Amino acid sequence: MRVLVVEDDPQLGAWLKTTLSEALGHADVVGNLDEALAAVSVQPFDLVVLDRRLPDGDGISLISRLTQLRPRPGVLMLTAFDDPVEIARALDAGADDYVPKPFEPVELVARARAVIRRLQVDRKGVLRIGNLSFDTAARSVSIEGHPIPIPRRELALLEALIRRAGQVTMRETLEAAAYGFDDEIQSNAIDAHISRLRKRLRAADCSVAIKPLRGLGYVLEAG
Amino acid sequence: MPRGQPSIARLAAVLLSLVVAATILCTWTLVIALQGDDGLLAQYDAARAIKASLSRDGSGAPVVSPTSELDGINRTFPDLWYVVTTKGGTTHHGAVPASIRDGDIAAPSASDFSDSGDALRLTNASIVTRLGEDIVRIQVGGAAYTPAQAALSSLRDVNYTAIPILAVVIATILVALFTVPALIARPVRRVSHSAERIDGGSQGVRLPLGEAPRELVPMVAAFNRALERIDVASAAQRRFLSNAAHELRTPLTRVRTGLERVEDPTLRRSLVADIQSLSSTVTMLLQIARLSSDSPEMHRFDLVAAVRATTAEHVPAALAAGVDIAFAGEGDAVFVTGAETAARIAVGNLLRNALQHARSGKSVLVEVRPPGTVLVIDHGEGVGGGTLTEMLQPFARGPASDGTGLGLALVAQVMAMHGGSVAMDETPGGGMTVSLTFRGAVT
Repeated sequence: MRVLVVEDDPQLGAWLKTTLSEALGHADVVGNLDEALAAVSVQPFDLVVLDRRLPDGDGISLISRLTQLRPRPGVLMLTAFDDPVEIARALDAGADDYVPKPFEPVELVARARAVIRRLQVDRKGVLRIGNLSFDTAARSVSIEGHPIPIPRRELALLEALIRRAGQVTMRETLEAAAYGFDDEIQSNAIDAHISRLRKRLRAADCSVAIKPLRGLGYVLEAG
Repeated sequence: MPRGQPSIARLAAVLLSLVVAATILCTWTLVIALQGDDGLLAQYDAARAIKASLSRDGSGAPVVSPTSELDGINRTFPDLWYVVTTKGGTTHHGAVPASIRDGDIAAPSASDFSDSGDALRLTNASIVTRLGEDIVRIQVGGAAYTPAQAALSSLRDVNYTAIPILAVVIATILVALFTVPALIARPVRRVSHSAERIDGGSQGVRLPLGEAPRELVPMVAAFNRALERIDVASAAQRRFLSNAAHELRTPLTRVRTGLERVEDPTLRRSLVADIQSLSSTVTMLLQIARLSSDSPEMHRFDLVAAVRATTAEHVPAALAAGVDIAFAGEGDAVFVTGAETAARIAVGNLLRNALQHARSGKSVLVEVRPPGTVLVIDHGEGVGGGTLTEMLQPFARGPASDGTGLGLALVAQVMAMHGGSVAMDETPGGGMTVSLTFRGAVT
């Protein structure tokens, strides 16, 4: 895993390099947008941790260049602006996630991992969480390498949940994932599917748990 | 909308109609005055007054018992004479000229004009009229109005000239009262429509000078200059806030990451807690500053969707704290008018508070009730003393709180901005229930 940190504060840059190297593999640090462009042109990165305020401009201006690269690196914005408008601007520009400063080290690493996990699917087609592997191309699930049969709709629900692991997947997102536009949806259909899915996963000793959140939806927690 | 001072347009209409009315009256009287009276007007008026004073005695002879009008005419014209003739007899007043007096009173008579060289003058008028069944002849002479008297008399003459004149005057006033304000107000309204489209978020928008009537151009220009100054000030404020955010948060991040190198776990925990508390204070202060500096755009939004999304955002924090989080009020939308971002910040602050105070294994419930109430219910330690007003003050903290003391002040500020209210209650069974009441949307 290669990570590029674009951060002009030397002390913070050094810390990010050490921490992300330990957690994810190898990390390089550059201090401005020019150096960042030079770095990504010679070396593919899995993740770019990008500061907003850099000496030669706003980190947002780099996002479109990064997302055009093949393979496309994940983009995690670091920002001192926690204004919802600024956050929305960064996400709209194509950032995969944002972490407001000051951040908790564990949260930064967890979010960096989540971004990489989401993008890994694009390349290898397999989502991994806990001891569960979800092959998005073959539409199959295995736990500790043992395949377990899961019906089509439950598979769709599981995929939606894995893609938002650790965060709530809203009921309407799940409905959209499992049903087409024309399907009649019974009010408790999603709950019934999830209930069966949870039983299957528990029976197979899966380390991930699906937790209901009343009025919101479900959250998948890696064990 | 406040009613303000009396309408300029209405005032203009009243003035205009008064001017028009006065002009019509003046023109009329001027025409009469210039024309003067050759005796016709005065003698006609006299004859009418005489007729009004007329009755008959038993033999059918005319009797004149002068009305106040006739008395007035008698006083005005000392030379006035008249002869009234019916089949039953005749009566007269004043110095009746010999030619009339000596003539055959029953024979047909004529009105005579005398030529005084530059104008004809009616010396006597003969008017034949009816009194009941009888024919009456009234012969009048010796009266002629001065120009001023002529003008006044024409206005007094209700039957003849005054009615059309008054009708024209009243019609003019009415038309002016209704059309002038509309005509004057239309361009003003156009300008105010343009101003209406300017909201808190539209930077650099100005009122088009070309659309304003000439009288309003200085006001529109002044308004635009004020907008310019506001734009400059709010840009400076935004720059300041963003600089402050950067200058405060970057060193905080540096310190926080540096703390990872502290070996002593007890010391590290305590320092990390301090930095986290300082970070929250900075975040809150910046949010309060932003809310105070911007006048956010108020629009109609669905409180259920906004609060549900905010609750969903706090799920990871709840999971980390081992607290269950639930939302009630799914289903029908509840529309309110307000600044959605600010409302979400307020609800987010309440949620953070609730998650902090909720004991592990307990739940936090967020509920939206029509017409616009948000409840955040926790089962934590509760307020534990302190009044609501105290709690809403900046830097006020509950005894059990390790928060910044700014969260609720921020919530109070957001609600004040919305004209809404904050209330705090004990949750049955322990804990705190905070409710925010928004005003319903104008539909």
